[in-house]
Amino acid sequence: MSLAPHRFDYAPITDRPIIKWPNNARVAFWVAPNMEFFEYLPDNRPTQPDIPMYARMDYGNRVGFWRMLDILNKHKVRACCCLNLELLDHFPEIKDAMVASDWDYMAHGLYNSRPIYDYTEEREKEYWQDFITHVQQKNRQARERTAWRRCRLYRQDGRSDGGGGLPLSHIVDHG
Amino acid sequence: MPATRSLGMDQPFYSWSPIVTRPVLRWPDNARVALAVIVNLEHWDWEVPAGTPLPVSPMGGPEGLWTGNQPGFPDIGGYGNHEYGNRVGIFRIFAVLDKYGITPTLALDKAIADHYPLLVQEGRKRGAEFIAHGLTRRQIIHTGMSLDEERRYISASVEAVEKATGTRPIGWSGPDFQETQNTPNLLAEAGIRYVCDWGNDEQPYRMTPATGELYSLGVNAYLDDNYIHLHGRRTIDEVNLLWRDWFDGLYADGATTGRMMVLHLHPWIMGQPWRIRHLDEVLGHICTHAGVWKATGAEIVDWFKAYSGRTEKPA
Repeated sequence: MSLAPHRFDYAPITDRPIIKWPNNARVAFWVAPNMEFFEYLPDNRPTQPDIPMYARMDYGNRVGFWRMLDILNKHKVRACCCLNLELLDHFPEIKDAMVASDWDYMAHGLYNSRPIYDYTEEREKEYWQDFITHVQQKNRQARERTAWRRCRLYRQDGRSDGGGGLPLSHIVDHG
Repeated sequence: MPATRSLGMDQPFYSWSPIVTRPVLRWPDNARVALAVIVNLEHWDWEVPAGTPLPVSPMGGPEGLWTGNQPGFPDIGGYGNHEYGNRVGIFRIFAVLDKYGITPTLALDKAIADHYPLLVQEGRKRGAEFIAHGLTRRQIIHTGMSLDEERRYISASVEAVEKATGTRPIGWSGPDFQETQNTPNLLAEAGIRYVCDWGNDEQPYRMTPATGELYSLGVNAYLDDNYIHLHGRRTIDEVNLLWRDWFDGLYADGATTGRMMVLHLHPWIMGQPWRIRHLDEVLGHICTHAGVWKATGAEIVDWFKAYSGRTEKPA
């Protein structure tokens, strides 16, 4: 009998079927860079910029991402990033670099400064559909120069409902 | 305004520019790293005007009062530790900077400019650059100010530094890095040519205020001695290692295109007897490297401005 909100059953690790990873690997290793855009004037603080926070996040996109990308590529690690969707349009060089490195994408909101807590179910469905369509479209555009492969989408937004039958295969908020 | 799906930044003050797509930046003598040491000389008010918001921590929340006293009671702890920096700590920092031939960039708030001529004199002896640092540590720029109030705040700060030092400052470091939506425009209007509030880069960059000329010489707020000790809760041994690693990373990448390290210090923190040896070690580590350009903020910005427009492609 699971506890509220009944989204998973208790499953002690000693009592599960054995998992075999590909090639009998012992450990599956995933790097999840957070690719984020923090707004200058977010909805919840429409007149008060937070320069240290804004600049810290912007540093990641101007400088830090590029250093990290080199290291991931050097070690041949494909990332699945936590993606603020709108970053793809604001910073196309980052989008192109992620596509060139064959990354996957996990939904991580539109902007890092914009939670979806107050969305209605309908608005949230639109949000998910927009997310999926837009990532796929941007990926396709970027991949036209190479070969179109795939774009998997995962979600990480602090909510577990919704998705509305959309092809989201994983939720990773409960780790 | 919240951001919308579009290219580039969501504010008008600078352009999007990933560091890997810029032309190569060469420092004087092909240095890999430009090192600037900015030291805050600042006063923690006994009392602040009614309605002044609490200073803000880089974590985003209020930094508050040191002693946890109720508003209206003097904050002896904050007053005392800042005064310690001006009475004692700064002289330890000067001695270490002298040892390595580093000319400091001194951020003077109005209270220090008006009331501590000895500190100005000590700075002048060393050829220091003086930049403006607001009115006091506790009187920050905030969104409750009207445009004119903020304009007056900035000119009072700039004029106090000019009066105390004989030179109009061209650099600005806001208390707690705080700005309104008007600040970059008002700074440029007041003749400020570079601002340290935007810690988003490892090179200077040109900002785009409504009028005038402004560059960003960003202080990384999360690597300064205030944040790293008091908010980041690092021990001094960790800070020693982290700052040297910070330099080493910049030095490695500086082989491709020049980087800058802006070390931002508070005498009431780094001038403490148990910390000063670590500053000595960190600067000693940095200064044993060939290819370090020890400079003031203005020297870096001037060089950058003169160098901009050259178009050597990244390797």
